[in-house]
Amino acid sequence: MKSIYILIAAIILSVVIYGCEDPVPTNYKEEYVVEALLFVGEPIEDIKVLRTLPIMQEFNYDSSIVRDAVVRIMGEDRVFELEIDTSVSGYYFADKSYKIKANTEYRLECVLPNGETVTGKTITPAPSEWIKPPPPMIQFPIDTSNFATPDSLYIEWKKMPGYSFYALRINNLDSLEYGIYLDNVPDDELNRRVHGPPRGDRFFRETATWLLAPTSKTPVIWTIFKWFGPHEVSVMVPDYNFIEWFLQYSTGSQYNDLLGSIEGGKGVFGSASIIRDSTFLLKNQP
Amino acid sequence: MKFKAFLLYIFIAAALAGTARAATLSGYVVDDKSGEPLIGASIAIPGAKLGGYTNKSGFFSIKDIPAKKLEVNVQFVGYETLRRTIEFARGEAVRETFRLEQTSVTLDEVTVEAVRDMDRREITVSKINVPVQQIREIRVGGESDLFRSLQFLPGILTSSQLSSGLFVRGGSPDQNLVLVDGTVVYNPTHLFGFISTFNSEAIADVELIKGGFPAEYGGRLSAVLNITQKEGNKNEIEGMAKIGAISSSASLEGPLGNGSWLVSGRRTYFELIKGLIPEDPDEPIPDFNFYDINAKITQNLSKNDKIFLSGFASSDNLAYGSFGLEANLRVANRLLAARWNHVFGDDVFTVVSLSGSRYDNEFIGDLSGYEFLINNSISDISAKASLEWFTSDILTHKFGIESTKFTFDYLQNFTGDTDSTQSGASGATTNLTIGDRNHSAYMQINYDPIELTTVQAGFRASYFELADFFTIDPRLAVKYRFTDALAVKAAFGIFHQNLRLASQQDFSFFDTWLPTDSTLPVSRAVHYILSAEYGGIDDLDLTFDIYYKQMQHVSELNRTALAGDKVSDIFYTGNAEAYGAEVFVQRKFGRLTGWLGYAFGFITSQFDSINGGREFRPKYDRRHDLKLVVQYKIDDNWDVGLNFTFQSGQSYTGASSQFRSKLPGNEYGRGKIIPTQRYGLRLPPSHQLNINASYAFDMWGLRSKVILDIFNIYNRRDIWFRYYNTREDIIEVEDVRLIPILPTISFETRF
Repeated sequence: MKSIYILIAAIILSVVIYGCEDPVPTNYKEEYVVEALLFVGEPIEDIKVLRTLPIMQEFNYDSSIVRDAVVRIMGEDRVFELEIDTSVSGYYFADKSYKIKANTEYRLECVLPNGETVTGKTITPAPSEWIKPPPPMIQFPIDTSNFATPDSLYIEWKKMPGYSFYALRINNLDSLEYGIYLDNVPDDELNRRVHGPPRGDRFFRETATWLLAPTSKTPVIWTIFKWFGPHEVSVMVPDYNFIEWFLQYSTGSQYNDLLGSIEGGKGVFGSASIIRDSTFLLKNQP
Repeated sequence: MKFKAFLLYIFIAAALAGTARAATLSGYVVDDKSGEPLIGASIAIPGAKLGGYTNKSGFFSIKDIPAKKLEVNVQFVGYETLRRTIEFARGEAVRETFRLEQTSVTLDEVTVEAVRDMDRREITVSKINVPVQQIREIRVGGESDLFRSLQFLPGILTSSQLSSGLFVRGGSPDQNLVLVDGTVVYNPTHLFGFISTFNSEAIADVELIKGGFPAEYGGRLSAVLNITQKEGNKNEIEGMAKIGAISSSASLEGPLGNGSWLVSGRRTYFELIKGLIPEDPDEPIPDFNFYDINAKITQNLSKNDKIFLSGFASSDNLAYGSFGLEANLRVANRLLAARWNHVFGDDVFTVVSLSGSRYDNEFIGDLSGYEFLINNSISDISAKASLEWFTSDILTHKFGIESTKFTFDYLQNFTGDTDSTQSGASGATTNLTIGDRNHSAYMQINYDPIELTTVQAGFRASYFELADFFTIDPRLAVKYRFTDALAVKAAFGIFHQNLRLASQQDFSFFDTWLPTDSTLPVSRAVHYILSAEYGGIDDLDLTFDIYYKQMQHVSELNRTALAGDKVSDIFYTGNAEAYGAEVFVQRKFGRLTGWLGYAFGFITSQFDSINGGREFRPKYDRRHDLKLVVQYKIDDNWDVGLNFTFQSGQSYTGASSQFRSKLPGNEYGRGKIIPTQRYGLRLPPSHQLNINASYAFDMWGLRSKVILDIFNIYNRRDIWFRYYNTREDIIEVEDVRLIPILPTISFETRF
């Protein structure tokens, strides 16, 4: 009888424990991520092969760079053997005169340090054209509580058949020097347009801001600018791998396998065509 | 051939339907003061060992009564037992309306026995009737709330304290059939899921069936929540007004012609309070309000005819404007139902209804001139007819047909120009109108083939037009009474669901219903339930349930889909199973009422597209679930109560490593974690204790009440979700916590 009680007690205990809290895991499992994006009209460069690092230690980007992978890209009946560029820690094709072609299929093959081979495939989109490029100068609204956009500040580009989404990149070219045009030279932060709540956040130190636009025209959205001064405005026609990687990049902190395009591993092999222009954002307070 | 067999069956059943020499007693049981029908009241004729109980309309019919003078006992919880002697003549059909008087506290043994008698007759498995008075006593932020009360039942889980969504035995909230006076409500929540839209003042009866529900219910996989609105006082005008922390409510009811009317409403007044708070123009406080209104008119056209017209409307509105962003969000429900009850002879009760229900959400935004618009809706028009035939003392039939026409509208315009909306689907706009029709017919019998054994058997045939799919769902429940105190029930059923809900688990901002089209199979579930009921311990009722539920082709929202014009673009589909055991001890009468419930359950899911196709447990899977609800009536003035819940923590996903992604031009990039097994880890348990006290008094001749509620009295800040903060170079595991202690006071008066 006693043993029955012990058995019942053991069952109850195991049942209770089964529903208990789990500690936050700290086990490390090394994995590899390939970040490879091709741009039409540009050389093959900046192909990243990354090693994931332990969760509970300070992240060091340089430590995550894999420099001994074998990376090659195939396209136009050619094989492009890539080599590592130590200055940017990315793989590139040495002949910079070769430019990525539009409407062309490229395949990626990467032999990782663990001996596994991962692959990817992309078809490069044709470039769009500006219908209404950004104006050379834009005046930031003086009344910051009334943020309507004048009609003249629309930008528009040619809609590409078969592509519904476009990637926009607004790149601040000089986050400090605009101050020299003012009477009192500000320190770097005074020249900032956005004083977002997490000022220490890397996002607010990033000079390039990305958007995914489901349209081929848009007004100037003031909140996209983090600094005043000169900006490069790029409109890209991305393939679907690129779009999914943009979602991977911009949503949540957790990697989503469904948004990757590397067969047998993690990461992206995508492409985009790109058009660029520039504008200067005048400060709202003269 | 099948139709001939059906006619033959009806002929045989009619032959069994009693003898001409026997008498019949039929009629209604109502509240003496208000004339409100009493649902589930017991009518017993001890001298003939016969009895029955009232249906959702308060109607009953007892056949095969011998021709002699017999005593009839009519009983209902909270009411004095009515005893009446009736002289039954041969072949006589007696029609009676029994009027019961309320008692303040029910302690007498007869009432206890009445409830027991009702329970003994109940065949449906896993069915819980929560007394409306107890629902009113369970409050959050001073708001009594139906869904919050139901969350205190074992086996009913939530995704968090913020959500009132009911996860019943592993089923998600969209798998619950929520009916108000027989009409479906699609989004029964306020505050984007925090509380339900149902004003407890307008509710007469709440019936929850956690699984294995009979053939008269269909179209959902997991559970049925059947809410009956009050009809209103048929004798005099009465009302209630209440001032609470979140909202104020009022209800008014009274006689109208040969019937009654009722209007009940609730509205927030946050915008008035907001006017008193100094506002920072750079960080404005959003405007928010919600309201709901219930109305019902009832008319007795004759002793055999009764008509009803009922309506329900609710709306939540949120507006925000600052720093270039203007946004307006609206979520609304509308429901209108007309019903006609007719009694043929004394043993056939029919209900014919025509109803319409609509749910829509709208979001209009303007970001520095870039406009976007979301407007999704589901509307239905339903025609239903049912026939309940009290064939004999041991046999009852129920037949029904239902036909519903659905219209689904989806409008999503992200082009930057809301005037440019065009039909069709492209990357930036989706503007689709989809129609569907569902048709169903059912038949079920309640039959006592031998003494102590009751069988409820039926089937439901459905045709879903858009999916072009025909289903036949068998349902079976068997009850065997070992003793007067102990009964064992078993139930089996197959269930199909055509509608799918695209929703976030914690908020119901943009809940969007979609039909199953030809790109996905209709969802299917199989329930197996074994239940034991014991009533031999004083006035406690003990129920022990074991269940196993298989679900196929259930949905999980594809959160990465950018656009789509077919249902399979929006959902992943997979399979799930749930199994567990529940213990429920309830005391329905006396000064001390309430229940203690414990559930031990497992839920697992498998989707080819999620978690690498490996099995995982959903976020809301909680192993242990303990609930305690106690309400004590000290005297005629004071009521005190508490409710306590303890649940295993919900599941979350851990991480095994990290990397940083950089798009071209990025200097810093964004941190990403590599997840481990989806929802493979468990948060700390969640528990909370809420207490309440109310003091009733007379104020200027009006019965009034001051109510004090303290939510989460020991200030346990449960974890809403745990995430990895990858914004900086050192990842931090952060917990977002839920509501702290929240004391509220409210006041109500009745006239």
